[in-house]
Amino acid sequence: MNKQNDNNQAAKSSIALDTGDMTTTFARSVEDFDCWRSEDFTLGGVVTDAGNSILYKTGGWRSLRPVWDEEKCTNCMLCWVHCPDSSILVADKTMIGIDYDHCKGCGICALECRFEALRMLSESEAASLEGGQ
Amino acid sequence: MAEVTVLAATGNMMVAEAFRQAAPDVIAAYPITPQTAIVENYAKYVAEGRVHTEFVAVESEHSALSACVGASAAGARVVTATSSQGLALMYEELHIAAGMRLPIIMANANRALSAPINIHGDHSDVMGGRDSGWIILFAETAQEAYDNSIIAFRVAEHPAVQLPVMTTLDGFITTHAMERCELLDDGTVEAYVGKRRPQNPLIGGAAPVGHGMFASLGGTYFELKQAQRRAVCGSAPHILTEGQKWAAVCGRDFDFIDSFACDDADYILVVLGSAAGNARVVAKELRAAGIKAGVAKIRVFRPFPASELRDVLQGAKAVGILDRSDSFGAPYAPVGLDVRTALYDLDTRIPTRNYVYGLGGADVTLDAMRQAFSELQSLAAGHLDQGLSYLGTR
Amino acid sequence: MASIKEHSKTPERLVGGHRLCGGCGASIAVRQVLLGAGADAEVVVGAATGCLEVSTTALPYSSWNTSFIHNAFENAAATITGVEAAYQGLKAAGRIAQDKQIKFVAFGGDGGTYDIGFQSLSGALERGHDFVYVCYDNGAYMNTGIQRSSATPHYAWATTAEVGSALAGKPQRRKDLTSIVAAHHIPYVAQASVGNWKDLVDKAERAFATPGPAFINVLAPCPRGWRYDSSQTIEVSRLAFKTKFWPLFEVRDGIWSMKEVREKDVLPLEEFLKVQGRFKHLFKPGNEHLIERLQTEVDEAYEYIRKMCVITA
Repeated sequence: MNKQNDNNQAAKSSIALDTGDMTTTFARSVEDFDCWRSEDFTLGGVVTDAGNSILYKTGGWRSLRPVWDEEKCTNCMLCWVHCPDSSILVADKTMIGIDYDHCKGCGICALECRFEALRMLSESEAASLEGGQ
Repeated sequence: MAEVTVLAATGNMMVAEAFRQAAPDVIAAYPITPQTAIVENYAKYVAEGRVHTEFVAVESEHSALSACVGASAAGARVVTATSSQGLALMYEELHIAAGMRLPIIMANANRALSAPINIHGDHSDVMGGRDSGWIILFAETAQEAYDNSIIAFRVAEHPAVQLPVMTTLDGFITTHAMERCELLDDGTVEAYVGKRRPQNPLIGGAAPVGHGMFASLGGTYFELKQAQRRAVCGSAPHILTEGQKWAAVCGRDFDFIDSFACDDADYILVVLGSAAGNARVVAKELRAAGIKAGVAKIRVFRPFPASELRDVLQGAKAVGILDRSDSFGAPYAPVGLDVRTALYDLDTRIPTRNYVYGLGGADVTLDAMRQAFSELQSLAAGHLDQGLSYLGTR
Repeated sequence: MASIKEHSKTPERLVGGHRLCGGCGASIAVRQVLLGAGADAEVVVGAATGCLEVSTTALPYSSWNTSFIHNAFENAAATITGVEAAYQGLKAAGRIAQDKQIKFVAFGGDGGTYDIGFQSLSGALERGHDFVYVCYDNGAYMNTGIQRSSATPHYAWATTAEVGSALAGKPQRRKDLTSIVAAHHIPYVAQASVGNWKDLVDKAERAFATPGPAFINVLAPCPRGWRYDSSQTIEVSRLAFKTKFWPLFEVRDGIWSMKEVREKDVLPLEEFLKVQGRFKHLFKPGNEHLIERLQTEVDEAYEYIRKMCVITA
């Protein structure tokens, strides 16, 4: 699990139980959602695992891939604050990478980067570069 | 022991008292005749500091029920009240509240729907919401409106039910007429209704939760709707249990159907709400004249007590179904459709006539009831066909 | 107001795995607004039906790392104020701790805010609930396929304001919702844009810190509907500001103030229009007067805000 997900966990545990409510959860794993029957859902289809869309990968939508040059990066965070897919990974005020599981390749980060630390490559180009390394 | 105060009160006053005694956290409501006195009375309780309830004086009925949805999802005990056009404006939210499985208690002062505009009592408004997934109770009297309103909290918030409940009373006839009523003490009601224990509330819960999610992909919606049907139908035994628990407290019976002289009756009128009284008066007259007449008043309309109704009606020679609304273009009016469907499962066919009566507050006279019973005798004798007619038009 | 590096320590409240289009302005707006709630705050989010809602809540997933509620299209304000009322009621009942602090925020698109949700918003603002309402304004019904709304700019193409020999896009001017909200005399009203992140996050911080109702109208461009490349969302937003198409202003307790475009940075309106396919018909020979008209309207609207700043200072 990546850093972003650690943040999820931290946020969740910050809420205290003080009304004596009842908590129910889905009876089955999201992995086999297509097989869920009526009784496997919570009442009304309430999601009790907030932020679980992190398990759903949207990286496959991408045709262009942002490639990060750590040397040129100044950690200005402009890519992070503008990313529509929460896919710039940061830890302790420092960029640590890109979440390719969710990045859709929109190109905003590369366009907004003032230091040429991000550039967009076609997925095939990026794959061949990786293969060559 | 419960302390009982006897008082002269209207249905609206009694519903407001029931709501106050159940101590809801939120009321969100909008004024509309003939319901307004419920929210006005409640506003007085708020002003006098008698309740802790947050009063959300919204700008429309749509927002009233929308706010109730938010408040119930948040974990609060929630009430509202409406009527007629207001209930019609809530139509979208009726389905949402039920689909989200949110306990909300709503009083409806049953009133005609426009056009033409008319402020008086009939059941056109409620019938528009009958397929929305709400549990629907009908009251004949102010007393019954009080009892139904109290029972509604236990039913809606029952862990196995978790559904909104509409507790209805007939516009003006029941909302405004003064009757002798019994009000139980606050402590007794408080002990009976208990506190709401919300499931997966938005606030104060163990973890953040998501309500009102998107289910357009695959068969998700379909599965959830099946769960909803099971929930509404499955609420029946809980309604009966909770209703009878209240009956034990207040000393007034509770059942899905209130049967009057139906056991050996040849001719039975099926009725909802305030017209039951006139039907019973005529049934008594006929009994005195040696004609076996009975009246079956449906108190729990959703879930529809089909098998219980069959048990009540199965020995009859003819059944008249009184409908205070119409389903234009359908073979029968709303109650007619349900009752005839229930009777279809009997081995022997009981002939029926469906009577649409009292629309827009038109008088429901004893003569009209006499006519209905008289026609049932002709129907049983083969001198009249089954079908639908308007009862009491000029 | 915290620095960007401080903000970067805030847990993500809108996580990845949602299905909004690449380059969507709505999720950028949401992320930036929610930074303004502060790192430690408990937040309950409401959303109107729309792109944002359907894309972040497809069962069994939620992209909201907060409590979240969607009710319907026209009632995000009524719904979130119901949640806020429950919070007050449960506090009064002693069922939640007196010192428990929760921030309530609702997001609606321009369709769900300017149009169908207008009454619900107005009522909620007038009632004085403690909540923040954020309109992510992409200037059309994008979720149903780019139909015109009352936020759609004059002369913009939309699928229900077509371009043809008889019509040059939307025939009407856009509604000035932010000023209308200001007329509710609530404590905090602002207009912001995803192209000016610092301004937006600062405004969100003020909105969340304000007791009572607060409203922010955020320009959140849509690559699909505006017809530009997905990488240009922030760039297009900046052009909206520099051409004065989308003034950045706020109204705090009735006092208006504006983040003026520096004189040397001001650009003609064409610079904003020409990068978007929805305005391409305006650049056909013979349509020059339409751009002139639009420029006049934009200048007038900008002047109006300037005057309000002077009057209320």
